[in-house]
Amino acid sequence: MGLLVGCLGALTGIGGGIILVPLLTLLWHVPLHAAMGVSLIAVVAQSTGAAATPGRDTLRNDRVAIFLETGAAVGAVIGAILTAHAPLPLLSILFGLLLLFASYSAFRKTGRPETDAATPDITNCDGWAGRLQLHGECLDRGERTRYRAQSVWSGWSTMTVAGFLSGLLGVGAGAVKVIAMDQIMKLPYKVSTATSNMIVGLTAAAGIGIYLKNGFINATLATPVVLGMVGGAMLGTRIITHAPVKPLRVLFNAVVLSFGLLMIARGVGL
Amino acid sequence: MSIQTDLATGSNRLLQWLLLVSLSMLVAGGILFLAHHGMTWPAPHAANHGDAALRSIPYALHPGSGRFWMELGLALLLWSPALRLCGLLWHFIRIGDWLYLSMTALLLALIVHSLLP
Repeated sequence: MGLLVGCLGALTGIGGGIILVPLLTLLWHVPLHAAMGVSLIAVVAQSTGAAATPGRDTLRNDRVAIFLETGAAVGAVIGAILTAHAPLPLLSILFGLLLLFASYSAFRKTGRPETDAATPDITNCDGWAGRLQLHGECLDRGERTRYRAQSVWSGWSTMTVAGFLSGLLGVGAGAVKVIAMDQIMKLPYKVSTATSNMIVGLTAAAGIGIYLKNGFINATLATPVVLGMVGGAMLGTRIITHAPVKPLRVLFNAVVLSFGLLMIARGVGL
Repeated sequence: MSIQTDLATGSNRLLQWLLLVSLSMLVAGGILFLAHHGMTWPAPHAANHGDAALRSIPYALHPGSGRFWMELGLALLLWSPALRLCGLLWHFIRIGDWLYLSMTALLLALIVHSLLP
């Protein structure tokens, strides 16, 4: 199952954790907290795996990552503390809503070009971006683009909410993090995704200690899932050029939507 | 080679090794576990309130057991974000960026505190 989730995640761009938790709970009847604990480990493994691949994170902006992570990490710790006390049906409903949001977000992304439509306006920027040096240059397809962050504190607040969701529901919440950087801070899309990849790993690590303290991590459950996900991600990256990615994305999106509805139904006791 | 490229290459290599070692431990642990448990794996739904033994590797389990190696592999994996922050800390020290050095140190302290027993 980890192999399948890792492979589909690499092919469709939807993070592994968000599909792993409903699969484990709905199909394999794993307790929700244990599934979320495994998912957080898988998020760290995927983030480290991507960082270990040469050339994958050259677009990353370290200052943006560190600045935003200060909010996300605090959010993750608060979320992880609350998850132990929150009623399971409520967590199930919240997870379902997150799945619906991820499906909507992925649906909007389908058909959108991978490169940015316009060069970000670097003259009209937030004063805080200058003070915090949240700017940079990225080389994309041979073209050098300069960029500078906007709406810095709105981006930081959204990232804190993303961190909270990560800690509360045991996911990477990459979709929300990319929105914070791409749509709110107006950073180039590829810089946002590369930076988000680092932030999801750091946020998961900040929240996972609380999961450990509460006994939500089980090695015999996590080991095969993590091995499968890393193997699946490698396989997905290799076959992405040959696989019918667009129909797969539509199909996977439909699965995410169905899981979202099922998690909500489970939460309300249907 | 610039400081940034130098750091990225060094950090990539270190993370590659860390990932390789931790995955090898997970595979070895899985094989040992199967060998010691008559080739059967615990059912996923039995994972209710999993053990928190990732914190107590040096004390609770015997190095000959499969679980020891699985837990050590997972623990190594969980420490990889802290390693990335150490790399960034070194980078900010080298370029003398005290603001980001402080933020990175704060994050590193939070993650280390979260992962330590």
